[in-house]
Amino acid sequence: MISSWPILSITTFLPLCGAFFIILISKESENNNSSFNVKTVALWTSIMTFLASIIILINFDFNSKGFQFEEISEWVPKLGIVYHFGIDGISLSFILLTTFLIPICILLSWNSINHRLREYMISFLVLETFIIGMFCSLDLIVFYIFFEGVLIPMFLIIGIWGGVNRVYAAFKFFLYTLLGSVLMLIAIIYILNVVGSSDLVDVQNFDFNFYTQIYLFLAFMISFAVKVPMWPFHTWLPDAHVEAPTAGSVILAGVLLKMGGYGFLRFSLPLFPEASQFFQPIIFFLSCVAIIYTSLVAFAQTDIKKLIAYSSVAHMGFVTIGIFTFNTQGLDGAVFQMISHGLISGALFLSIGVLYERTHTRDINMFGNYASKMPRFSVFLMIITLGSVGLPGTSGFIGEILVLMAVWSINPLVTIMAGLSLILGAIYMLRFYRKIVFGYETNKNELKVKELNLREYSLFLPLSFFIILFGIFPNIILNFFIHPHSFIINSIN
Amino acid sequence: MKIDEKIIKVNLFDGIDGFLIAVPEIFLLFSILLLIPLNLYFFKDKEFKSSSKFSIFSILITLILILFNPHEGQGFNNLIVSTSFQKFVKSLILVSILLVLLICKNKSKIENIDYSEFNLLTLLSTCGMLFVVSSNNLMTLFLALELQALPIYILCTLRRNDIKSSESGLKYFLLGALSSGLLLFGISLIYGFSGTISFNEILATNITSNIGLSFGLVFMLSGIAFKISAAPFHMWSPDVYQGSPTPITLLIATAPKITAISVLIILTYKVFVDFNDRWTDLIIALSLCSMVVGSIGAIIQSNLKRLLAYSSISHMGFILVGLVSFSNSGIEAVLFYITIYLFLLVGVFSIILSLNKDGQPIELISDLKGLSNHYPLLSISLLVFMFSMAGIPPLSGFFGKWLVFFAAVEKELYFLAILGVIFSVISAFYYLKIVKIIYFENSDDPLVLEQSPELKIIIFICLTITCLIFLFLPFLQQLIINHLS
Repeated sequence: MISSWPILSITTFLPLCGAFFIILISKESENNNSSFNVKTVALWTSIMTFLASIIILINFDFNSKGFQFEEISEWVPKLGIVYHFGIDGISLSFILLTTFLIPICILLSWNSINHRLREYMISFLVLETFIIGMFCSLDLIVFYIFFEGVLIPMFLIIGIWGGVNRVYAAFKFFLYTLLGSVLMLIAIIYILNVVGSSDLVDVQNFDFNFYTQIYLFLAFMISFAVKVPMWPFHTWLPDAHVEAPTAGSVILAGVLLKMGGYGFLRFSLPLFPEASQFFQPIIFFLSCVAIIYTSLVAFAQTDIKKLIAYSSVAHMGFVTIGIFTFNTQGLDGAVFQMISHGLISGALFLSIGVLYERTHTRDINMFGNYASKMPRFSVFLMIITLGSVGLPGTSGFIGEILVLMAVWSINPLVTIMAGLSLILGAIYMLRFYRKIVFGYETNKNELKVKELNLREYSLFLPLSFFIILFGIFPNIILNFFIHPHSFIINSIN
Repeated sequence: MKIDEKIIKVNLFDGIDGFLIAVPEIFLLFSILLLIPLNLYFFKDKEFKSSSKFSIFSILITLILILFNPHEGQGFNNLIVSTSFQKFVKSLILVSILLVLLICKNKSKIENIDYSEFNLLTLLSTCGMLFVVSSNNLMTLFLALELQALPIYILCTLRRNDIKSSESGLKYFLLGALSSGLLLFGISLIYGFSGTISFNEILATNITSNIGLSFGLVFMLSGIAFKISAAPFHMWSPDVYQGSPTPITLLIATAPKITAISVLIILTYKVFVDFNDRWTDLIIALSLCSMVVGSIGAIIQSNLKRLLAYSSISHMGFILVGLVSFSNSGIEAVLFYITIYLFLLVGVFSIILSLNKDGQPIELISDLKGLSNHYPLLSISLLVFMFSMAGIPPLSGFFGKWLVFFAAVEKELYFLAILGVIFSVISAFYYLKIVKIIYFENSDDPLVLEQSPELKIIIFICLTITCLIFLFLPFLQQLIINHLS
């Protein structure tokens, strides 16, 4: 019965309905309960969205090829644009990641956001709608609308609730990403004009000649490379991460960075196969530079949030290498790395948020001896740090090793360069952990820090659980990708 | 011999059909004539509200007459023409005038323009606009353009004691007169080289390359570029926008520009069709200049209305991108763009008009500081309008830009499309600046909100159109297509 419902649209627009109800909550309600009501509505909406995505998961057929739960209705028939939703294993895994992280973000902000709570929750719910819609859409224009729409709530989240330098960071984030994606708009319009339809299925069946592919690929690449972010386009990321509120950083690192990788997989590879092969060496080069350069930069940071931000760039370098290997192992590794990085970096930013709420500093030298001050927190932080380093048994390991194995057959030099980052990553992440957990007492005032409360436990527990679970049973996730990846590889060759 | 034939042909109405197509305009003219004695004798003590109600009522009836007038074709010895295209543009103009009058009904007191002449002059100018759109002859076109422009010059100076208002009126008049001179010179060149001023006969002459005619076209284009404030003919617009009373600024920013763009469409698509390759380079140059001046000039502005003036210059640049493609999808894009831009502007201006600080209308961008602390719904509306103007999906501005660039890509004008989107990113900066001031900054000095129910409803309508345009998109597009055939 459920399969006849437009379940994807329901999941996509459910948060928007929640946002609408939050607007309706009057500001001066009795007993001054309005802020509690706002939070509760937001939390329940996000949990309902999560449940809706679980329903999708239960009804999802892992053995069928092609897209599922497809919804097609005419939108602008004159230009050949259709409202086309549908998911495959890759989209589903990202949708689950998103719906899983948003309740965490809302719970995370339960006490830390005191002003303009209503706008905050609306921004997060609208953001969720845009992200889910983006992962569901199978029409280029519809995809672009959701892809760009993400900028509005994220701009507000960074700009209103961010740190000291928030205005600069918000502007940089917005303009940088917008400039990246407008060229994609022109490319999409070109495709729409040439093919006569912007439906992904129609566009996939159309053969562009090589030179057209090169230009179109470049236009798409700039937009996705800014999002991923790849090396020369990454400068917005440290600012945005550092200035964003904790929940903003979690969603930024957890989901927004994956939009770039997803775009490469869904659009660049199947639509422009020859151009993708042509650009493979350049992507490998940029990714290797990203991995080594940002690892070194991360090592030099004293701001822990900046450190994690740079480490994100390095980890996303593995993703782009994996995608452009064009074989099953590489693609599996890339998507697995994205999911695992979503969990791990989300958890890392969460830990930083927990520390910052207690100490109001992010300087790595101000921390020390948390093993005795917050022993349970230190255990969680250890799991997460080791996941980030890529220790076998955590999810971080699977993605990296798959990518390294895949790229060996193509270019051993890239493997060596990228493999170097396992060592570099261990160096800066272990230094990070040592300084915070085992270092000497540096700040007498910090003696009073409190151990995690119940709410924070409930945030760390599922994240750490999944980091370990996916490390031990990677097939849970890898099962999602069998058919979509074989489809992508077929279209490349 | 020829002249004799013409004299014989002239009769006043061309039969009853020629009269019938002009019924809405004639009705409006009569209501203007009625309004003069009403203002003088019946609306005692120059009461503004009753004359305002009268004008709103007559505009409404004119709108209904236009929508339900089944008669199409040419009339008055081929001096005027009415097709579905003209009907669409006229209804758009009347809607914008209607919104302006509704906004002014209660706001004119605080803006210090509550003279009943305001309504009279607005109606007079509207009548001119309707005739501009339906003109089928260069002379009708020129006379109607003057009828449209002259009342607006007076309207700019309506706040008599304000030196800025007088300055803006004078500036507008001087530069407007210059542009009329250019236009008239162009018309006389065209008459001299083609031997006719009737659109039908110009179309029939089939002259494709004639140096004199090309000169004439360039002069005419310059004259019209003045009216739509496309760079490099934009100099008047920031000063006039800033100096005029805000409701008048709204009037200047919407209806006359719609008119001028429709004139440009008629001239390029219907009259001088064979000169398209000559128009192309000129319009591309105008469009690029407007985008550059509009996006870069606005960045340093601190006055809200000056900023909107530059923003409108850059929007004109985008509209010209659609125009230059010389295809049906180009006109569709242009009409769609001006329709949504009209509602965006009305929304923004209604918000500006509903706020005041220390009893004065707000002037500077920094006056909006901390707006979101006190009026969350109003701030969200302004935020939506700003993001929409910046062209961020899923708001209406994005769809306008998209259709315009689609038309450009269709004609393989890739460089224009790419430069266009890059300038749209630059112009996003100053829209973000306004959002920054509303949301990221705080102020202890609260603004005062004074909203009449009409204003609330207008803001709500504009907001709905801006946010939910994707639902109306196919419908609106079909409507425009139907009116083009």
